[in-house]
Amino acid sequence: MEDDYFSLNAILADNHKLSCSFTLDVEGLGYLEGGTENNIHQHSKVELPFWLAQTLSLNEFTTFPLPPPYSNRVKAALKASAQSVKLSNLVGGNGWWYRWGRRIADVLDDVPQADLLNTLLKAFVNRLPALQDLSAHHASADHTLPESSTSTGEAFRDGMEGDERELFAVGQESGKMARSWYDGSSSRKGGR
Amino acid sequence: MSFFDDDDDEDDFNSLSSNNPRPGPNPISYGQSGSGSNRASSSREGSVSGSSSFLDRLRSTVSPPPGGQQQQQQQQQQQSRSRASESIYAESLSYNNHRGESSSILGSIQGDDHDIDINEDDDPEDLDLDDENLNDIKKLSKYWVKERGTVDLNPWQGDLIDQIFDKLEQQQKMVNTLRSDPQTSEEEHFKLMLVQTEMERVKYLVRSYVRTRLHKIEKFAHYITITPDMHHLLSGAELSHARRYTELLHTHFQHSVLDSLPEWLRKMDDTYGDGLSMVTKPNRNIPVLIYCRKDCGEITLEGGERAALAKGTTHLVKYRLVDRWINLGWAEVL
Repeated sequence: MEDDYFSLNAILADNHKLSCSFTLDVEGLGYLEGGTENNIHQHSKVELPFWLAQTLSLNEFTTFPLPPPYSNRVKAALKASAQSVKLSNLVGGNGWWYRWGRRIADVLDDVPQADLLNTLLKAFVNRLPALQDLSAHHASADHTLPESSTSTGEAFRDGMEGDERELFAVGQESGKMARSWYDGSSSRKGGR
Repeated sequence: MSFFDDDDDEDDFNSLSSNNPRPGPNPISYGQSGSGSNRASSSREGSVSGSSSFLDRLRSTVSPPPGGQQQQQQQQQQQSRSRASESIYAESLSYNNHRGESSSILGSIQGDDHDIDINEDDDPEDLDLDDENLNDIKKLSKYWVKERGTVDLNPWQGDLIDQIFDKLEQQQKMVNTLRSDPQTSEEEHFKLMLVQTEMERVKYLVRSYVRTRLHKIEKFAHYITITPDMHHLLSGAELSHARRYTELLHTHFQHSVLDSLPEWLRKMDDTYGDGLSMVTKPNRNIPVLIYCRKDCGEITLEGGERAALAKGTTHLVKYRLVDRWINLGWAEVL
């Protein structure tokens, strides 16, 4: 999860919209609101992509509250059971909850920042055992058996966030590679 | 995926393994097995000549080897083989002594027999080995693991690689001579196969080491071209490759995208306000798994905690906090 300039995941995550309110009147940029007005009035709410919102907020043209994916409701759900929260729907198309959280945390002040980062960390740590378990299991699971869609495994897999899905793919692939090496070497040596 | 192809070795291994289970040496079947071994050796000849030209190709990527003495190289080569093949060779030597062999290469091996015995006293479990006792292959494994475990580019171990190439060549010549000698027995042919397997493993280590470095170099190509401090970490070929790669990439970007943009948007080395730069630097905050060989003292982690790096403990810490000790060799990357 590097903050590479050329990383496509980072670019996609940055593109997610943030709801900000302007602190002053701006002329001629009314099209940002989507309406037909020519100017933006003070305290009007506009949805801006994060890369725009960050620069504007740093220069104090806009302010924004903590966005909904990181609200208290989500925090309470995570505290209750981190593994059953669907993180994939919260931010953007593919789900970039962790990345976006880190970008937001960069713009916040100290106390909310530490709070948000702690939430992210705890959520990740609590979801990791389920992730690891599922990826190891899937590598050797019999796919002819229909899995019930209400099982926690499937539900977790649907709700997995973008970076978690990458880790899951890595785990699965390494399990498959280990198995094929094991099968391949034993068949080559005559089943020893 | 890699440009070093392993497929030809597998086919030859299969053909060789099918030829090998033969009855013990016996004067009646000797003629047959002699021709069988010739067949096997001819099928191997293709891969052998292929692999020696591959060695030449690999050697062209390193600096030319220093002129060494023949005797010294052979002695080094004796010590460099793994313990398994050493004991096998000791066995085959004693076997040959009984049969009264007198080929020139085997004769020179007998003189160095006592060197092989000394090396068998090495205890691989003892983690407090001084570096001089480690043979070249173990050293290469350590540097390989370090290269794979860290994000930064480590110094290029040119001398070590040169030594290993020399030893590989020596071993290859010995194997060739022994194989074409009609007096070597079936058991020895089998042992030669093991020796060749070990050579393949060493070649894999070298390839993987070079591949890891190549991946890092291509990732940080622009940064390397800009920073002269890093140039001593690379070999000559690596440095020229980094420069050409940077040029290639930039030309490609220019022609495909940047020329259509306004003049002030065409830069490729901007740095933004929040520290994000177009030039990718090695990210030194990435954690690294280390094992402390010696007492390294305490380090201060983020948030003010202190962690004691006592001897024999394993830690997962950010790279920049412990890179000093990794470079000294006091902490080993796992």
